[in-house]
Amino acid sequence: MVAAFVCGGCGVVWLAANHSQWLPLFFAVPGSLIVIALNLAGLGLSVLARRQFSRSEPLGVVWTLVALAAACHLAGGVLWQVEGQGWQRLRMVLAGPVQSLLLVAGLAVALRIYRRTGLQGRPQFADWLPMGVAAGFTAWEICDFLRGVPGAPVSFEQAVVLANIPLLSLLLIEAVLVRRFSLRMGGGLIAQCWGAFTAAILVTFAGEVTVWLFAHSPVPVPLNATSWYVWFLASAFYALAPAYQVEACRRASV
Amino acid sequence: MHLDAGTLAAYGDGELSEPAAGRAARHLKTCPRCAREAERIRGERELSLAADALFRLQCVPPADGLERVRGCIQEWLRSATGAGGAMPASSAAELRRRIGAQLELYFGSETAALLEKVAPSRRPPDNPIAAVEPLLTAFLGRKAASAAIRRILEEGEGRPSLAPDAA
Repeated sequence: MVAAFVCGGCGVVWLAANHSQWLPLFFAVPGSLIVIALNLAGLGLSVLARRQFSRSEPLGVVWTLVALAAACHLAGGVLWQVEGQGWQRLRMVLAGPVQSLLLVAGLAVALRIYRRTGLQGRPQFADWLPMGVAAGFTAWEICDFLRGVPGAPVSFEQAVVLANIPLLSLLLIEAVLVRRFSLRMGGGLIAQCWGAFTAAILVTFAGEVTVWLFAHSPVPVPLNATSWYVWFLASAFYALAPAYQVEACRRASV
Repeated sequence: MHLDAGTLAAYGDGELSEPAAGRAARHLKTCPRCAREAERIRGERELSLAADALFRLQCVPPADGLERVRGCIQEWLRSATGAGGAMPASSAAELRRRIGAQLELYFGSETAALLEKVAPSRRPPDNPIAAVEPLLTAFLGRKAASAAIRRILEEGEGRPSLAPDAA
């Protein structure tokens, strides 16, 4: 569904290269609807995954945190449609640092579970590339901020972005490690669950980098629109991850 | 001079006195006929214990399933392997195959081999289920892990028995 939407959207972008007024309409109506639907599916599936575990089980803690992060993600998608500076600031905080912090905590517990099983491996060469990019981007962003006009007031938006980028980088590093550990075990349903999480976080990070790139260099609108699609993919991957966990538990219980 | 069936069964159950068990063990090392007979008796006993354990598993309520399953498995393995004995090779191979199939579905094809390599100190001898149970519980939850372990032990359509004669 998301692939069809992305392909259709690309077609619209291509057709509308000389009619850029179509683009906001395309993203404002069907785009918003599909993001909210995906975020809602992600929240529902995360709650279902949470219900497979008791309170005392470590993965139950992970899915509680992931479900809360999914609720923040959904709130962000809904608040995007609401006008008013206050609502937009709330959206930025919820779908930014709060969501990232919850996922960082959740993946930290997941990493600890892998370590307890004794099945964790070492990061491979391919893992260091996204982790290096994440660390480099964070360092660059912080330096860029510090190089700004001394004494200039920090805007609310700047503060939120500065809080979110390091969390997102940490989240990406955790996701790559969890993915490596699960890949080492093979390609079962649990591995696919963490693979979907890694893809979601990778796409979210790529979106942040693209936004930053386009903010620092003027890009024509049709080309700029290509960066808008990553958020659909991120929402789809966030919904897919708990679906694999629920399916694994369902197959075991049948 | 061969050991009679009663002595072999008592040896398998760990009921012989220490000197008698020592004599029986020394005899079994040198007498292939008695060793075969001891293996056959152990297989028969294991089959009846497995049937008993499976009957109990079918009565497991979902709320405390894993604890009950764990208890049944431990009791079954303790009885099946006897005092210091080991599960017959054919049964162990079938059990490992079933465990491998379940692990492959949930975690991946390498998991069974990884478990053999990385956690020898954590794995009780002759109890492969004890090695996979924490993994299944951690990633699937107690309820689903209990059902997965039950599936490993249960005989179903097209599944060979864990007993050596039928495997």
